[in-house]
Amino acid sequence: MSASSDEAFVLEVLAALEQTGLEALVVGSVAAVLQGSPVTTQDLDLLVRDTPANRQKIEMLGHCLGARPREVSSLTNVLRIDAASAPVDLLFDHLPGELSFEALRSRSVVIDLAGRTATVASLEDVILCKEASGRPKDHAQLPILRDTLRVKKALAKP
Amino acid sequence: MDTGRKPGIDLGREKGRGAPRSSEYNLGMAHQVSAQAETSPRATVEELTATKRRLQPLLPDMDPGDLDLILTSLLRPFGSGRRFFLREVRPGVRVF
Repeated sequence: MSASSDEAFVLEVLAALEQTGLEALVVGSVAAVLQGSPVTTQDLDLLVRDTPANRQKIEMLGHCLGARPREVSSLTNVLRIDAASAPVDLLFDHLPGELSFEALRSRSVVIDLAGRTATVASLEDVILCKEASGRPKDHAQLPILRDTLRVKKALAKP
Repeated sequence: MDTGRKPGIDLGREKGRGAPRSSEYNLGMAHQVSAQAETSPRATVEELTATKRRLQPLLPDMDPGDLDLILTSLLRPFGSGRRFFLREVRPGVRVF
């Protein structure tokens, strides 16, 4: 078995997070993918604790991933790093559904991926966020995400 | 982590939720899932079949095709060549 370019890219981002020390959680569809959900996505979302130190580390993250962070639009504070394999979107402090960074981190899932550690939002929180987002593309994923959660809970039963 | 499962087929055991975090990431307190990439296709199929047989009575309203899809995804270890990013080849057109 060999890793796909998508899997290699996730490892590259995790290595960059480790190198920079940025306080960030993997959220969104990639968080769901890493917990076994059969979904696809266009980008990798990170939720960052908004501090001056982390803002500096974001510049370093961009350097590691080969692109400068840029504003997505004037209507949002989301930053985007146009990495070679996929965009990396950086969101700050909270997600739709009144999900704070601290709350998400306290419920986060730690996944060992080929020697790298990924700290990702729990599948329950990914679902909550997508329910609250109001975006059709997020709502379209909800049935399969909820079913994945049901399967994981059934698997956990003795 | 010893889950009592076959190597490479770790379907994710939760260690706890909502515990207070440490000053760094709560590595020791959150869920732990390990993915290994050393399972034969035959072992995976056998595990999939056995797991599906066990789960179907617990999830009677779930579409069997969806259950297959989810279990296959859950059983597939990270590093086995999975693709999940869509690429935009031109505005409005994305490919897998």
